Amino acid sequence: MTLLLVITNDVERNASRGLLLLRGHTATARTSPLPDLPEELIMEILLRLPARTLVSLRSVCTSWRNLISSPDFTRKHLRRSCLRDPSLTPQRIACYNSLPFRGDGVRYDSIGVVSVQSIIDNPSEATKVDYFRGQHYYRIVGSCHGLLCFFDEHDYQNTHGILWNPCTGFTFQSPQISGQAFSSGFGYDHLSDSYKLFGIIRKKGPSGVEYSTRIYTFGSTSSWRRIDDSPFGLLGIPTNHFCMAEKGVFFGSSRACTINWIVNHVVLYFDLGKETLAHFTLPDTDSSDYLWIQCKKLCVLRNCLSVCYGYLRTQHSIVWQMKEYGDAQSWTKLAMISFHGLISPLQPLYISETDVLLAVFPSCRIVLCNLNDGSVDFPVIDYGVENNPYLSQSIYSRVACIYHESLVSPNGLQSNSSKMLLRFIKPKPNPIVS
Amino acid sequence: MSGISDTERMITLKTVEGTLFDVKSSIAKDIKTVQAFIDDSDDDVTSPIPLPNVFTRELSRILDYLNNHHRFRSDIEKADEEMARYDAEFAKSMSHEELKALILAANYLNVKDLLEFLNQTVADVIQNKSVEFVRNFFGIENDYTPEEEEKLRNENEWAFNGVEQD
Repeated sequence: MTLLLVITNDVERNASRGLLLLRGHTATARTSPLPDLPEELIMEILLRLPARTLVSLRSVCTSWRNLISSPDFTRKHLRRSCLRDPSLTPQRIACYNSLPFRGDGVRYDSIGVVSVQSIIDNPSEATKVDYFRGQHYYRIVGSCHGLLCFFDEHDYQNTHGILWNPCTGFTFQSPQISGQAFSSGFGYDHLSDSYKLFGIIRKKGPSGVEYSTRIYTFGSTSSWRRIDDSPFGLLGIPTNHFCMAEKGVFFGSSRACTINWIVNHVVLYFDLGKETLAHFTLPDTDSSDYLWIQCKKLCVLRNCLSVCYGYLRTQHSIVWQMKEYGDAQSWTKLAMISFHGLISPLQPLYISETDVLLAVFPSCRIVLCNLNDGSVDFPVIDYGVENNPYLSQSIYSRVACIYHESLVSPNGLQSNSSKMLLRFIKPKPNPIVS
Repeated sequence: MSGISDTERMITLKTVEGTLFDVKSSIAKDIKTVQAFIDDSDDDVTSPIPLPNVFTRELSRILDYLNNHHRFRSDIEKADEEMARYDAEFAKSMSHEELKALILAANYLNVKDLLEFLNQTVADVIQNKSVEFVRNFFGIENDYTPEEEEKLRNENEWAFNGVEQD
């Protein structure tokens, strides 16, 4: 995660602030009870706890709830996590079915969540999946700063965006827009300190199917805006040859905040600050020319935009990293992953400090590739399917995204839905074997 | 050993109980409230500096911490290892009440590194503990109605997964 929140310097503790007390305060006897810790100290202590612990500590008292939910606190917490202690906002993978119905017609609407740390640290010990159930089918758009964004397309005529923080339970719905998202993306714009949802909306008009580029800035009074730029016009590719990844990848640095998609042989990007579209070339286009678009996966690894090419015939993948964002000369080969049985393209999600690449197959099966010795491991995941009536056994077409467990909600925004859109499914205890 | 230590100026600190502590000026530098007092005084400070909020037990712990850290820092080779061992022992040696009292004293005297360390120690103590444990630890009155508390707990059920039983 790249921190892009506006960083304000901590007010330096005024060294002489204790002096008045020093000179004028009367001594308290040792027998009197210890005074409570002042709120500034409570805050300093709480800022050292992981997001999930803090969510449970909202139950301590109302003033703690208000403190932990305040934008100032959540911002400081995220900043501390980025600069000093990443374990405050541990990473998780959200897995989601990309098909709203499974074979037998039962709606599939739960989102599975697993801990990255647990998978990397103990691949041979089962990592448990936590499940959340939506009101209905939501299509995942992306994640940023611990917020997941979806399109709710349940009536096939209209759609609206949903923002969800799985850790705090915060949800927010955008106004409706008529049509369906052909392609989408979600990200943070540090210029306006806001979260934006991008969609190329496809809609049936009087003269056939129309496409429009739309932006929604999450906020209590905002609406869908139309952008002049269109990827079709920009790239000059006829619609019937136009092949664009459905989900955009957010990339954030102090210089650029963009959403990126692979379109045919280029990376198309949307600048979240300027709200314009542009493109740059992919690496090694000669040899990758014949690659099917589904075999090219964008991702962000170690704060660099990266692409993974899957060569299924020869059963290997190559990961390229763009060292300097936007400079096509800076594409550098990061790794080659080769193993027998690679029959579908890999989507890399994360590289650990120990050079273990975590990637998922389209089925959401997780694989760990050790980049030092080339070994490949399949971590044990406890899906808990047999204990859960909502879960499908058919997991062949899933999407996965990685996110940080954070306390973030867009500045000053309150949940605007009366019911919980996504609800934790409490695991049933395992049946006792007699 | 530092060469100037023999000739170093000493500062005297006086606790609530009236106990006097002689402190090297290099150590006093880390006690920002005291240092500010010295900086603000026109003349050399010769009489004991009264610390009306600080008790003997806490000041003696703070000086022990600072003296040891100064010593570790002068021996680069083993510094990190020994400091970590000392810090762990230091944290373990206190009850929860003593820990809180020390935080208040370190905050009042503005001893940055120690305060950081103590805040982290408390964070480690309360991590994965129940809401009741945390209320007890900080002496916080629960001001939710049972209904409100139940509702909040239901909404955040996921976060309570993995909380230790008291």
